[in-house]
Amino acid sequence: MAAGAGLLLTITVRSAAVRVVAEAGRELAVRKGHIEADGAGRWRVESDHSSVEVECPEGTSLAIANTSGRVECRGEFGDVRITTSSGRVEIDRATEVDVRTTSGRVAIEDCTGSCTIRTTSSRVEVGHAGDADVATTSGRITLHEVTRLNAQSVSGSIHVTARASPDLSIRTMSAGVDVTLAPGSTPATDLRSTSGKVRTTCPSGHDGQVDVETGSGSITVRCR
Amino acid sequence: MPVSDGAGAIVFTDIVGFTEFTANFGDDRALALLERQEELVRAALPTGARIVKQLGDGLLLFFPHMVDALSTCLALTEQYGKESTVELPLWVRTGMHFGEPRRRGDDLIGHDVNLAARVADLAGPGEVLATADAVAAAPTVAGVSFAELGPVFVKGIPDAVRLYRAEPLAP
Repeated sequence: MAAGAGLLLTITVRSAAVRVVAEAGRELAVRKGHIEADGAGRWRVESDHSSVEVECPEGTSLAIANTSGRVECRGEFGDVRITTSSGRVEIDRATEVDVRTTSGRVAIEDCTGSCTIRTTSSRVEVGHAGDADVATTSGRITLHEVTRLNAQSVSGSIHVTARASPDLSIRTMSAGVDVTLAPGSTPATDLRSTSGKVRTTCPSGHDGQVDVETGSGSITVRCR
Repeated sequence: MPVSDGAGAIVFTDIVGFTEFTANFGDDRALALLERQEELVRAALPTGARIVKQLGDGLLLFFPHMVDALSTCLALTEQYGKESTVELPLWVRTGMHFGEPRRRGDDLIGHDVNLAARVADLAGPGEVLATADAVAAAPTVAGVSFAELGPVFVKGIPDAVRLYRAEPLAP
């Protein structure tokens, strides 16, 4: 178990750049903000500055409320929950993620458990997610290594590289969907578009499930 | 006319992508979508709860009891999921807060109403979000769990608001 497991840091700022670094052996420390205990294992950080920097042990969980500043989470975290309006969000590694943003770009390198992202127009890129749940209005969504995915988009295109035995459910109104399957993967597919083109060169099998439904967006499913 | 209906659950719903859907599929399909949503909501509302008003593709609902609001909205969300297709996209997001809104004719107004509307803005399709006050008013509801999302800032409200995602417990 990581040293910070069970520790929850709540960071509440307005229009501030937030940088949190989690490293093994680190003590809790805050620059340009103040920290106070908020119950067993819970700490609250607040700041009136334009930036705040926090150091914490690996495995620490975060709940961050911001409005427009950039949020960077460097290192390995437990659960990370971030709500912001327009700030860019970057997370290295976390057990679970919940990010809600309007227009800031979202980049998550590795989310081992469930990864929930809600955005209006943010461009989203996820390196690896065990179980992703993504909804966007117009932001482009890219997921590089995903096993389970539930995605909904109004007009933001969705690009997925799936791992073996995928379980993907993707729905869009006008956005295109591009899925690349793992080598040798032959999931069952249900690909439907009201007026968009549907293209696949992959044989359908029983090794997982890929369901894609669009209104006018094109669907492409290809093999690696 | 009373100035308040007393404390209760204030619920906002909104169909994500409704404008795009209308542009793609036309006004008649959009109308059918709204009518199906309303039909499902009216059938699900318990005694005492009401549709306060329709806001384009959204609804403002009032429930005298928070427990009813949670169980009804989660059941509706499940139903939307079952019926939803690209040609009938019941991509409904829901936000709720517990408070005592002021009454203006049949309408409800006040800070609690404004807050509930902002909570709905943060939800994704198929999601039910609730404020800490809503959860406190119904901390245990059979078949429902709450996942804390932490504090969030919402437009027009100075202090951060603690939010939760309400989810049906796995059977």
